[in-house]
Amino acid sequence: MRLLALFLITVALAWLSLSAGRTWLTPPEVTRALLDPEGAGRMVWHLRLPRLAVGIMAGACFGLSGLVFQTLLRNPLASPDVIGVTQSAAFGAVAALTMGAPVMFGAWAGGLAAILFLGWFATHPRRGLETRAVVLQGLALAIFAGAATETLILRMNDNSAGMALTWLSGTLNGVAGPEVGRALWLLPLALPLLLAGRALDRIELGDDLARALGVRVGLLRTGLGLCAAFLAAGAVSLCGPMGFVALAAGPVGRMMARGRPSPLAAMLAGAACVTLADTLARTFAPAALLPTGLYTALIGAPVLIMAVRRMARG
Amino acid sequence: MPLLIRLGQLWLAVVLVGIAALCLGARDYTPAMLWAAITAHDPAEPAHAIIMGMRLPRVAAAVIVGAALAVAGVVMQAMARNPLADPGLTGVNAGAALAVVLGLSAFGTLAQSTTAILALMGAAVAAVLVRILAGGGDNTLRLPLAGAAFATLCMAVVAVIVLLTPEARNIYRVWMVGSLAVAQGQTLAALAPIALTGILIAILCARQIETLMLGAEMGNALGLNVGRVLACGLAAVSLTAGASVAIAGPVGFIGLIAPHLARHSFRDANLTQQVLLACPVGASLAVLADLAGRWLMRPAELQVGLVLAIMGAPIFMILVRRLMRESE
Repeated sequence: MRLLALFLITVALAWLSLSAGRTWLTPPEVTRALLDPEGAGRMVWHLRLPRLAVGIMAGACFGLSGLVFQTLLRNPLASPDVIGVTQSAAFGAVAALTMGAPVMFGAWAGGLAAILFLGWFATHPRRGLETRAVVLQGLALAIFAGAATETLILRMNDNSAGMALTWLSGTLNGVAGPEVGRALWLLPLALPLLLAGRALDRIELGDDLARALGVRVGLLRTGLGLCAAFLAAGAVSLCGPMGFVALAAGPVGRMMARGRPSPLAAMLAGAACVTLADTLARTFAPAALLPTGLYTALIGAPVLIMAVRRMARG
Repeated sequence: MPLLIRLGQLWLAVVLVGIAALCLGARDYTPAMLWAAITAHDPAEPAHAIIMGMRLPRVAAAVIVGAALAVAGVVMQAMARNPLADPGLTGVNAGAALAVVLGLSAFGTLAQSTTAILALMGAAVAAVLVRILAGGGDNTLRLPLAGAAFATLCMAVVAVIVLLTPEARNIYRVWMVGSLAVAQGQTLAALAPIALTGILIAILCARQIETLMLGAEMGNALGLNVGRVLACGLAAVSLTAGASVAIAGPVGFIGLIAPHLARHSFRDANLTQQVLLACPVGASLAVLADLAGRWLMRPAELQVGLVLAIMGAPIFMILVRRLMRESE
């Protein structure tokens, strides 16, 4: 029931996003535009629809990856943007940009390097992976990758530096057909995670209990973690590291699924968050064109404060 | 007097690093030229002008910022009973930065004193908020997480303000990552006393803070005024962190590393001794980081905040690893 409500909210926000902008469209006009891609609907089909589609895909990927990391690390704050996966992916993307390589591969390389490093460095010889160590070392990794990215940007000329800075706060400006194609690449990665709800449920019980229930914890954690890192990095390559989406989508999705880690709910929450933020970015102060990521940060912040408070009490 | 000897050695290191920082840069000078610039200063000579007019304020700023942040780190780590506390990681620097940028956008340009006051208030509010957010008990994990979250939020608001006021953008790009390039003689003269006051408070209350951290009941029994000691600790942290943000922007990791190095340099130091030792350690770290940033990529330069993040993050990771191994 709640899941249905979340779905309806996402659809409504998507509809709003299609009608909002410099010229507002009434609902009948949106319908007419959607039915007529070449005539009256050119603007919607060429500008707003790709932007919406990429925003939804990226938001869903961030949300899913956030939920998976938060569950695997048993910490409501341990999303990819807190443990440095997002920042490393952004570093990889900027490095690829300066070298003229495809951005998506750069981002994937960065995200993969981050998760492999954390997995290796936080593993105790006898006790295995220590989730607390992953979170703390991830915090430092995030700062490190951020500083390394800044170093790259300092060597750019002013124009590309300005663009890179906007991109680094997360933006959907300039998104068009090719990005939609790239976004579709992420679907096969999202599928295994979407089906992993039951496995996540069991991992949540604790390593020992999960093992007793026949879950191969180590293998599952590696597989899910890698998938989630690829998803987050892919989303970064689409729209930059949007702050707080992954962080907020997990707890919201959980709330909507009555406390269970539901991948579908987290995806919807992430998609809704990015769609809402992008609509705000295009309607409020459109001349300044603030990056969408700033609005996601402002939307996500209250969720975050709630999560920390709950963690402090529990 | 082994402590005095150790302190002497550490301050000697600061002097040596400082001399190196005065001599090296986009253009290198010999120590003899440095001596000439100090003893027989000739404003018409470009080398003298560079050494005395540009490098000296910068080195002085680095010494003050480094010492202040190191003291802030020592006090925070003691008060939070958390060896990973640091004004950067716990969001105190970000809070101060947000306050300064808010002031900049509201009033245009700011006087030195206003900047300092805003930074102090921002630092104090952030320190209290993050501490409340993180809750008590074993907060090894929660304090840095709450701090990181709070810092991200502050920085997002800062970015909104800066993007809406284009004239602030250039200051922001240099200052926001932590830079000593903007430090000038007058700024320093106005802000150094604030940082020094903070360090002095820390030295004076260190013993009481240490006693208090044994437990509030114990502190009461020993006749401590708990509220006053906590207020003193908060004042020490916000004065030192706020002043250094006002001088150099948010600079991270000195507050984390310097206390650990200080404790390493002198076994079983009590908190007062730690504060005293952390000053020279932090100062030489900051001077070294600034020198590295200016020298390695010359003629371009890497801001001190970036150098420290790149140097400091791996050290933080190693600390965490050791901490986890110890807590068997």
